[in-house]
Amino acid sequence: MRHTQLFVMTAILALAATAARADDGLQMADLVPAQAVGLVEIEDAAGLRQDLLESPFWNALQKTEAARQWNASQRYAESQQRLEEFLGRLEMKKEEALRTYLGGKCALVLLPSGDPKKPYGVFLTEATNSNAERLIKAVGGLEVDRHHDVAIWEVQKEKHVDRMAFAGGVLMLTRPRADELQQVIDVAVGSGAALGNEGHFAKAVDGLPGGWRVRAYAAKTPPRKSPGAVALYPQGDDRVHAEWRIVSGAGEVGPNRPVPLHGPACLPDSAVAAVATCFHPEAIWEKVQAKLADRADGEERIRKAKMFVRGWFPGHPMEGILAGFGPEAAGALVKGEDGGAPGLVGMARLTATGRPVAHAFKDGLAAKAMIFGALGRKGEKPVVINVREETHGNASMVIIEAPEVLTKILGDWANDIGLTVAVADDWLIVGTTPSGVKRTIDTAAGNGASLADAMKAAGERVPTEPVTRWGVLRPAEGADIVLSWAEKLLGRQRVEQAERLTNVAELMDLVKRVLWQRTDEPEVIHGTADMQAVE
Amino acid sequence: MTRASDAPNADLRDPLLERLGEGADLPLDRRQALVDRIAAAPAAQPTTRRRLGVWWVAAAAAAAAAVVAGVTLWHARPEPISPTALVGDLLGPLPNFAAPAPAPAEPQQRAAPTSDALTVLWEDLEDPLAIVAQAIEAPRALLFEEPSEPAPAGGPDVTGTKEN
Repeated sequence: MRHTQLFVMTAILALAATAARADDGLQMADLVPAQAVGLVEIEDAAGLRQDLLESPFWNALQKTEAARQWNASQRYAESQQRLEEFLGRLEMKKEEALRTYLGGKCALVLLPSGDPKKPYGVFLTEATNSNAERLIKAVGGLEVDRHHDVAIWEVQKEKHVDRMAFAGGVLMLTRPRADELQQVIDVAVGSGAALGNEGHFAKAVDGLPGGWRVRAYAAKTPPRKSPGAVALYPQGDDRVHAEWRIVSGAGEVGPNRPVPLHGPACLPDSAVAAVATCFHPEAIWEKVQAKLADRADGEERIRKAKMFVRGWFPGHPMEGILAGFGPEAAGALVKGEDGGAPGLVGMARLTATGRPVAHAFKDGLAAKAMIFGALGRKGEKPVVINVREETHGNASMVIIEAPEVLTKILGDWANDIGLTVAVADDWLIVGTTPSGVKRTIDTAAGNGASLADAMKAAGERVPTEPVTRWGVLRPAEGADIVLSWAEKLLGRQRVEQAERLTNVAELMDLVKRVLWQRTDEPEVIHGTADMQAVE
Repeated sequence: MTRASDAPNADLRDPLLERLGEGADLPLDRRQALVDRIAAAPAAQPTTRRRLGVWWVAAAAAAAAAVVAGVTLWHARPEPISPTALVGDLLGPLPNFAAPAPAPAEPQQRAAPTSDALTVLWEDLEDPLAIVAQAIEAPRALLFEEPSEPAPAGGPDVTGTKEN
């Protein structure tokens, strides 16, 4: 749920972006101390806010329960009262005040406080000297100090103190807990090192295209603990493009070496979430071995791991198994046919030597299921497992079903579900529904609309150049699946979970599409994402 | 009626009578009334002593007014407005709306083999989403509701916390 909130908030920020471009004038990073742990820059925050408020996404969001609660809250009422009082003293209308104080460049800089959860924050906004003085007067600021001959103004409230200063064409605001304002003034007057001149900042932001409206930089991106930056770009009034660069350090590309991806053209257009990725089994195995070798019982663990892997591909040595697959794999959640159960589909691309290895996996799995089914019939509560073989197009399949077991949980969906393994021309395909796997076989053979076709028809870009990973989420189309789950949970009287799922579905319905792409470069991970809101 | 103390000076009567001109033929009682009225006019002007009294009252009144005005203005001085709260209001409701970002899971918590596949996918978005989460959370750094006591110039030693 937290991730959903985060996703929604990201979408809100992103969808508010408009077509204005960043110019090369004032650079906030040049006014920010080098030791900053974070920097959020916004171009024309007033315009951003206005676009957001006028967007269909915002209108839709206002109908959610969370928005209703916020609008009815005491804090909201207080904020409105405070704004009215401020505007009255400024003798400005709201739009004029927004344009005056948030119509240029603004930034929020986070400085280290010793507590990562509570960094010091200083807000910077482009302003003229007279407008800065006007604001300081309107809020009742009193001059209390000077630093480098820059006046520091103060407003005392019951629970905190605010301080303001104007230097370098920028009005600075903070609730000081230390000398964070002085740190920024130091840089603004040229007496301190600026973040903009730091190499780690440049490595994170220099590869990002210009024209961003919001750019966020973090000195330590968890979990990698390295610098990174995300920028948001306009794409009309309901779409946004995002790009990011994460400094990864040298030598991490191996298992993530980019390749041209065929998965998007082989997965069916009924996929509501899908990912295609580079898949280098030998590089992955090397990494696993290196990790296990560090342990005291590393040798033994490596031996057992090999035995486990070979057990799934009877008759094939480890080297043959590793060489049989790659350099790509893909997976998807596909909608069911005619209201049937949705299914998961996973596929691994076969090399020239891969087909016999894939057949060994399929046949071995069938044998294991048959043994398990035979054992299951003998208990007090017998488990009936059906194992059958089929062919579909050029593919041979094994389908393993246990409808009686699943009926209690999934109701009528149980009849649609069956673990299905297929060996097609270029792919080993594994799925949870025979219909999903069959449709994937057809699509991979060029029969039927693919996910790539659907994306291109929607105006989205599907990569043809080598990339590490490409994925798509279609939340609005997936909302039906979530609602179907909610209904089934309601049927089992798990009302709370059903309500939670319904809320998730409500939020999912606001976002039509999210695509992302990752490309690993020698020292930097470059990512892009495109979001499309409901129309 | 004009009191004795307010009667016109004797040296003023002749000029007054001269300036009455044709009016000097008036009946005696009317003439006397006219002289009295004219003579009454200077009687309305304050004496030096009265003028000092008036100035004292005026000064006292002015001082009182100044005190009253000061007290009034003191109470009427607008309540200062927190500019950092305004930033939240103007950029809001995003800063208020946003729930605290989830704490990123430590790598060892995500090491279960069954979740490895999802972990690989999540890694694609984890870094950029962490940055976005920090950006969404950033306004909170301006809005901490805790007593703030600005440190003297120089502040606490934060050089040891430098992140890079």
